Amino acid sequence: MGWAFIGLNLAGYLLFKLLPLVLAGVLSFAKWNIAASLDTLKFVGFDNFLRIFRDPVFWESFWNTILYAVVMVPIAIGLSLVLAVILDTHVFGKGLLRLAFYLPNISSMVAVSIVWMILFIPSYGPINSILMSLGVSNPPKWLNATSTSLLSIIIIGVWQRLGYNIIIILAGLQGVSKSLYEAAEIDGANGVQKFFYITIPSLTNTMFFLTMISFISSFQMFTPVQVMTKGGPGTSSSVLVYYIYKAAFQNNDIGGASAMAWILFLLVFVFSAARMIVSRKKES
Amino acid sequence: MGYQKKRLITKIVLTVVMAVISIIMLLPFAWMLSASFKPDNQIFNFPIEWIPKDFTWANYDRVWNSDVPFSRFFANSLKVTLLSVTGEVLTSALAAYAFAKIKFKGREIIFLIYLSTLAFPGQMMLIPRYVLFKAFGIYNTHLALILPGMFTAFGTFMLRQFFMSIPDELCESAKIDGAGHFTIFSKIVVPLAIPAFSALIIFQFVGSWNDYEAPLVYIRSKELATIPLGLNFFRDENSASYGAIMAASVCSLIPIFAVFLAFQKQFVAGIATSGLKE
Amino acid sequence: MKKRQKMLAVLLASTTLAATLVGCGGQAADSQGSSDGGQETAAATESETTEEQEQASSGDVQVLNFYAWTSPENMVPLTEAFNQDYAGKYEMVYQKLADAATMTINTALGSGEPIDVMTQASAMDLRIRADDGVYLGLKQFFDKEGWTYEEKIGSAMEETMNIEGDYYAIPYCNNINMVWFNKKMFDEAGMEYPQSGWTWDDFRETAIAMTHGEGGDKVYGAMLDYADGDGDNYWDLIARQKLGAFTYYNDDFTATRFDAPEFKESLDYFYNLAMVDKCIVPVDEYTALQYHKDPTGMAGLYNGKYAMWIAPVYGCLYLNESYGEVPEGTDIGVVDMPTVDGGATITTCYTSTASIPATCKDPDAAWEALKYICIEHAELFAGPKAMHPGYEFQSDEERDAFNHIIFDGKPGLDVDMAMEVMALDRTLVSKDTTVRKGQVGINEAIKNNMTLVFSGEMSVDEALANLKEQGDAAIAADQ
Repeated sequence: MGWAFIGLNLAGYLLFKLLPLVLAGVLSFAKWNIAASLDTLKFVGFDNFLRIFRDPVFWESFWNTILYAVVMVPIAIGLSLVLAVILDTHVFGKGLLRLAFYLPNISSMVAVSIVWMILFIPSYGPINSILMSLGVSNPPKWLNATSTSLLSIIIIGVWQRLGYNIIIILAGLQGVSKSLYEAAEIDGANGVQKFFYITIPSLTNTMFFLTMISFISSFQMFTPVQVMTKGGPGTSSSVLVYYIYKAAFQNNDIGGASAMAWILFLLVFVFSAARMIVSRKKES
Repeated sequence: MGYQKKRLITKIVLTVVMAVISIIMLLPFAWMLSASFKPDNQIFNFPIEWIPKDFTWANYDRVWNSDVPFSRFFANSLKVTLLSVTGEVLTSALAAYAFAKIKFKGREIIFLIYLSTLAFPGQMMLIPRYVLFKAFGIYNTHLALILPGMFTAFGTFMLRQFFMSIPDELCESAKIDGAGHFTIFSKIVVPLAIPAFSALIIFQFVGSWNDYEAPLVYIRSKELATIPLGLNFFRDENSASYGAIMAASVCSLIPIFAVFLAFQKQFVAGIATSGLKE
Repeated sequence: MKKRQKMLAVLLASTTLAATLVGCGGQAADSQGSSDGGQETAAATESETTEEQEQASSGDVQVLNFYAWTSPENMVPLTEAFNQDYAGKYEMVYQKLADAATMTINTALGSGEPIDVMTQASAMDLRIRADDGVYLGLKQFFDKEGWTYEEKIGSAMEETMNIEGDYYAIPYCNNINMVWFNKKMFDEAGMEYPQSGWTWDDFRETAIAMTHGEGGDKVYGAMLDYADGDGDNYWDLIARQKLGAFTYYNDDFTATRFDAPEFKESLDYFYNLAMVDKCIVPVDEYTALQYHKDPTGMAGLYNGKYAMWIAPVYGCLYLNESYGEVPEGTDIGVVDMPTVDGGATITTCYTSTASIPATCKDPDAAWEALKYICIEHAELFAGPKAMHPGYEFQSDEERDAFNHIIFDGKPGLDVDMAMEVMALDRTLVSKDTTVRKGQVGINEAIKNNMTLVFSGEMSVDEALANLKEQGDAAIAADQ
């Protein structure tokens, strides 16, 4: 019976996702120029992988990606939980406010990056002007220093992610039984207690989805880096998918890019498998 | 009465706080809007002039009335997005139901594969798909954009999680009443998950509407271009006309606003709970 | 070898299987979707076929497909003139590429579409495509015409384009770097205009003298993109002037020469302008305000944000009204790049090129189009884009006529000055490189180290030492 429900999706998935993914695996062992015919494809064994493992920029991008995900995801989820609960019931003009929070997701990325680059201008940009008027004598150089470039990208990432997370949480909140809150109110629980003892436990499934999706999409973050820092200064804000994109789209290195993509895939595969085994053990 | 009053005050205070926060969220949109009404050579004046000094409709005029068939791009985007979102919601919902509510052999492993392939960077799907689509004969057709969007692991995963929140007892009692899986799916699970469907529709609509790289790689004919690809026609040899691109982007946001406002209305507490009480 | 074949066989088998599957699936999907969607696709293919038929039925006229990324309205003069000159024989059809990116051009080339002439901005991409057999060698056509590449296109370009004895592209334009300046600002400051033959010391003094103000109102002496991390950077200008083409490589291309004193001189110079004198726009500001993009760069100059702007000749294009009307009284002058010693003028340049794909059905016809675009009628393709042709002018009259096409009708430009300056002698040094060895690694190393230098986190000496080491390693790895 299960197969009847899953069949259509699975067939399309195998064809449009798994097959290309396997093909990408084949390409990761090859050297090929997409402009030339497939006959010119040459298999090179593990060359692409060996080359990547020896490349320091790959490793820097790899660690930056993990750091970005580990810092960005919890902050964004925490903040959006609070904001979503407020936006669910406690404000006037919900529709418009929710739209406002979702705007960073749909505004043109060019506009997003230009506005942030202007906000972040070290010498006289609005952010540092405020900091200086508050008495900070040596404000950070944000996107233009190795110590703060990734942090700046994280700030932008959180800012952009909030609206997205809020939508998911709002959808999840609708499944929380109102009677639970009413019962708690009778028992004299305050807002904070309700939040921790009712809202969060009721959202387990939603939060699992949100956490996984947030990690996965933060592993794939690259547009802000591409538009704002190009991975710099130095390699301080280079992330994996940016590096992959550059290899494939600019440097004609489809083999190397496919190899890196597969490494990322395997990493997440191991991570999700481990997560699944752990949660299974908990259940039993 | 005092309690009611306190509630009202809290609500007003929170509204004000949220409105202030949302100003930061509005900045890029405001920048887009204001740039779309400026001549190109004034867009980058510093400090940012939020209200255009020389207000002009020229960018909008250029977008809609030049040789570039922008209305065609608009129609293409609408077609591709509507078809792929509809397809995705359908196939994902069915698959998600199986993952959440039907026990069968191989379920866990298939789900694990679904989950982890999500992490494979979309950009690296482009090249193998390009090769495949040429073999399938759907390169440079809208099917190349629609079909991959119809079968996604994302939608399946998302709906599965929401379906799992629906208590099994509800389904079990229906089963006892003689309902088959399809009845349970369509009469119980889907109505209870309307907020989740709304969220999915919003996400996928935006994702498909704004996708640039897939059309860039799979679509070659101008007649088939979607809006993000079509924006390249407002670009000359060396660089882009920011004014025209911002005007086009503002226009292309309108359907997104419409979809968002229509579907976020479904986030109304009580849909799910009212179902549970019965 | 056998293994490879096996793998390919498996691959092919799975692909055909998939193809048959999607054949049904695709149709089903379309009919299940909104019906007008299906109709639209059908209508689109229908109109395409009728178009093809029309082309086929109009006698023996052969269609030549020309691929570039220029905006379609700028292509009308070229296609109209070509189709008139070759009426009854060839019809040139312009196919616009979405952009000039490597992937865009590669996917078009690999798509199986009939392409007769393809353009590209990157000389490295050209080299890779040539190596992979994507393009036809053009020497045969030069031989047939009785031309040599050197005398037709020029020796500097020949040196760059020669790929193991053959040529795979012809430059269709040549972008010569110049210094644009805001005459009004010089007048107000009581400064003399820069003159060709000036030195880098003169440039520095002028830039310092023209710098004033603080914070957001600060006016800089000059704007040049010295290190945004994305290619066309000017930190190595002086080294290029002194060392010539293929600047980064030693004579036999076995190592880099970032240890040469010319590189230190060049980087020291621009480092001082940016970090010590602070008389050129800092990298964080120009990337935020987009002055490194040409239209905004020109707007910054006439809006008085800086007094001088180093950019290619086509920079004057952005005085056109379509980019916003220039303020009243705008008066833009142009002067050659500063010299290293007050002697002969050496200016850097770079080109975009056009090629014939190896899959082209009728190479002789494609050659007619290529020749027309690049050599015989550059005024119709390069001209409207305010670019010089890829070849050297044969006479002063030819030169002046072409310069008029470039400079006339640009509001706010001192056309007389531009005509005069462009008539001066100068040696061109090409920034393009078709040397493949270590290229990707060298560019990556330049980006990584130069962004550190100009954010003040690395010294000039350390950066050049790194460049030498990383560049040499990249060349060694590519052997």
